[in-house]
Amino acid sequence: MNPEILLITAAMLGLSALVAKWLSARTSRGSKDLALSLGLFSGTGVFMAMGSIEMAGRYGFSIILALVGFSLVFVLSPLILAPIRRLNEIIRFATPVDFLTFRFRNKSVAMITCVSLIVATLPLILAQITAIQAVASYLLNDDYQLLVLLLISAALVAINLRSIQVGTSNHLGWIMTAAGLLLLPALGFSAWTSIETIFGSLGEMNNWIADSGQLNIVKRMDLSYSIFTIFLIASFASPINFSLLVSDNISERQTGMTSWAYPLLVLLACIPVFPLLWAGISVQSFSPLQEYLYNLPALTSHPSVAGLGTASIMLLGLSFSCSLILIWSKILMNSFLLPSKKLYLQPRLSAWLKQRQGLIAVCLIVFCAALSLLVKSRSITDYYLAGFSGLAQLTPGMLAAIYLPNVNRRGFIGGLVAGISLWLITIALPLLFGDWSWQLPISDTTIQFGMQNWNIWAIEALLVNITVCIIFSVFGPMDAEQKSFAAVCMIDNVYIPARVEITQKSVAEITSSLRLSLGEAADSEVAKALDNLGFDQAEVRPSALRQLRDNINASLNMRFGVLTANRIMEKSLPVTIPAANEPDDIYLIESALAIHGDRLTGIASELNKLRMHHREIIDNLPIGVISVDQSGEIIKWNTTLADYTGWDSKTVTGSSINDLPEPWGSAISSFIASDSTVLDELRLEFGDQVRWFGLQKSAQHINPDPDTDIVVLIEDNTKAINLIQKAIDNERLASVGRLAAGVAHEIGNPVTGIACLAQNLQHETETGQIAESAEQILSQTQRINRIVQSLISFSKGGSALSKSRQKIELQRAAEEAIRLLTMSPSPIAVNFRSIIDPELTIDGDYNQLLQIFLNLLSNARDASPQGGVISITADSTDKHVHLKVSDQGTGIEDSLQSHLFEPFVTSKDPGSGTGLGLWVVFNLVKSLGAEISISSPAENSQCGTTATISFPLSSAV
Amino acid sequence: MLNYRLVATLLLLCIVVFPMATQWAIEPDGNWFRPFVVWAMIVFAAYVAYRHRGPDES
Repeated sequence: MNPEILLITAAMLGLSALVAKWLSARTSRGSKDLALSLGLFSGTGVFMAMGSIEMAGRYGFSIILALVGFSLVFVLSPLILAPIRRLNEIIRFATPVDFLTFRFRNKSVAMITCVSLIVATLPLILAQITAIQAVASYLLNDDYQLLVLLLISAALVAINLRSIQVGTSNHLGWIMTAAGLLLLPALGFSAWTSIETIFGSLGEMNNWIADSGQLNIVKRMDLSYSIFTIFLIASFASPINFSLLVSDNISERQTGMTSWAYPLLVLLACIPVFPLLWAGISVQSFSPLQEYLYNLPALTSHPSVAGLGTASIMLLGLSFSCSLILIWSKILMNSFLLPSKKLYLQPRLSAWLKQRQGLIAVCLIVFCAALSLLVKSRSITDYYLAGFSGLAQLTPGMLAAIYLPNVNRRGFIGGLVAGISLWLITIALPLLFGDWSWQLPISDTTIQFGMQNWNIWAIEALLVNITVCIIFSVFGPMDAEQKSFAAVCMIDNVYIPARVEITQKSVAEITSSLRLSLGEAADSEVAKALDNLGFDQAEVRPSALRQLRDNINASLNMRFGVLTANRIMEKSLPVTIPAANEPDDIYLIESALAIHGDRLTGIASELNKLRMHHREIIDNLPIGVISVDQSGEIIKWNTTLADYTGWDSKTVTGSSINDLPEPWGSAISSFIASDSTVLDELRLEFGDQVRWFGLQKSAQHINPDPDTDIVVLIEDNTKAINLIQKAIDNERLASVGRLAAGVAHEIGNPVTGIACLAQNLQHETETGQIAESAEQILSQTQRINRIVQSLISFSKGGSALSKSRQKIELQRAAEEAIRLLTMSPSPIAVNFRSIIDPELTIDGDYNQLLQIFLNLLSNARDASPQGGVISITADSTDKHVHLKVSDQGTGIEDSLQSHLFEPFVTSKDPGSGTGLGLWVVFNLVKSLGAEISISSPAENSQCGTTATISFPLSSAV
Repeated sequence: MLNYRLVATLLLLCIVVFPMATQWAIEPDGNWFRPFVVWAMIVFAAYVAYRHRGPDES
């Protein structure tokens, strides 16, 4: 027993737990990247810490080739891992078994791959248990072997159950990070202290290895080809690599970073291996090579370094075992338990799943512990070589899945079964239960099975696997479903889900359908998918519902595996493919090209540029463009149309044309349904505003083609139609003006005669009643004259206005207008109050200004109550003179305010006004270069009206 | 899309660079750390390729 090292080991484990906690609390990008690379690195941790030294002793520099091969998969990730990662972004694969099941479409594929993966990685778990037992034996002694095994099992059960409870990536990932973080200093310090203590310096060590011949011994490349090939291929199928690099859906940047960070970490860990080996050989240590990491520092009196080594091995062994057992329990559940289970019967599905996975994990741990007691004890290197040879059997199938579309299910299963069976017979079983040999019946040759010929059998099994796979694939049939999914998995394929139709028309319908398979868990699945996509419960767009379905499918793939997810989707959310060839989802193709466009090369890249150019042209066209497919789904909605409607392309694209809000929905859908290809004037009301649009569509109905979309062009004609309307109004007014001039001329003469006669009558009689009648006649003729004058003014319009300009005193014009109005009899008595600076002048025609005052004051008087005050004020700024005429009348209705300056518009009773007064004022004001505005109620008041005229300031002021 | 540039680089590495590098690494008179120099160069090449692909994309 080594109490000092035991204490240091416990302290190191505690420290690493603190580091793991600290790292898990940090959410920065750097710490996550570091955690990922260290987590991956710890996947080979026990091998690096123990197996690599022994392997260096056995095979020399071949260990370097092996580790280069193992980390080369990360360097080559754009060729190998990236295609699966791209597919995983849409489909989601929890394990390599799911990926292969998705590609080869069968439950037997899932079951055989699952069993093969577990059997192949079983030696790796035994390696971890052996490593921890070796450390425990060193720290305690051999008497506690059984107790140590129980403790290891208990720790594995505790960590696994906790990881299942809180989620693997949140919990176990940080333990793996801490383990990886411990291993590097352990190897570095151990090598450094050994060199310093045993050799004295690095130079001395170099001299020793040259003198002793060790330099030439390690330079042998025994079995280098087999070792390099097996390590390279096994790394590709490693479930932990798959889990961290594919299933966890890490970013492209993180994956890219592992391409150099992981090989760098392995390189840093590999450099101390040879100095440790030579230090051990130099001191003629009796301990096994695989225990040099902690034995040599202890031997050279560096207990803290030895403690670092033992702690790192324990942590690495535990974390790797837990990761692997979690993956095992997951694939066993997904391949054997869930496909036939009625999940909707489980009221608390999540808890039930965790409970079942926990139970499977505990059974697996007990099985592994029992097996470690039963089987023959082997070195860590043997376990790893056997495990990697087994894992390599999965790689041909995985490579074929992304590179060889003609490999079929039968080929994959046949190859895998043949390869893994040969591996079992020749490597795995002899490893566990002892080597054996077979005397060939017809010759004297004896075939040796076991680790002594592992390199031959590993390559043989791989070749048998590939050969059987090729033969079965060449001669076996391949159905349409397999062909379709083979194409989807190809490396150069950009997977776009087909534009299928789903029967559900809303999120609520999808939820209720999914409940048939998942029970209450359906609600949370739909909510999670909505949250991922940024949609809400009211979503009804067909393309959005398809995306929602795909997202739910991906989530179910991760949760229950591909087999169960397929079963659920086929039962609850089935799809129907339209009768025509499976159409592409243009919207999703565009989205995919927008994301992956930079991956295109050569002519594809040029075509993509052309596509973007055309898209830009369509988007920037000054008319609205909408493209609708034959099922009524909107494919294209350009920017101009978004400006017209206020709905951007992202919101509308994918909707059904019938689901567009009013007034657009019915207008466009009825136009598309009609036989006409042109609609010149579509009148749409938006609140108080009326807008006009011209519509044109492609002549689809003449030659219907199911693959062709209907294109509708929409042009905003509001300005043009308003101009036409104005021209028509002007023409009408001009006609009225000409008529008015004629009528005024014809009426003026007899009215003048009547007025003269009435004056004569007034002068010639003194009888009260007759005089009064004569006065009334005069009054009425004056009124007729005013009306006639208004009509003449109207008929002359702007052209009759005087262009002569002179300086006019505003006060004088206002006072004269008041005097004239005072003389004119009116039933309403009002008080005029003029407050104008006598020096304020404007440039213009005096008569015109007088006419303006007369009309404004007259209107104000007619609107005022008895005794009301009409005020006239004026003030000047740097450039303008502002004249205001305010009354205390009833004000002007809102509906009239926007039409006040139009002819024949009046708020007076019929017969009381012509509606031309303000129109005349407006034209006169314009001719004076001024602006007029009317506000009602009046400024600083609750009633009345204020007319404000802004004249340009006279040049003399 | 298949990265043809990467495939061409790999072919070059496998046919020309790798045999030469291996021979240099295990020369009888060479230092024991030569294979690690070759490995470090592979890591550097991977880092350069990573930078070239655009490390800032998320």
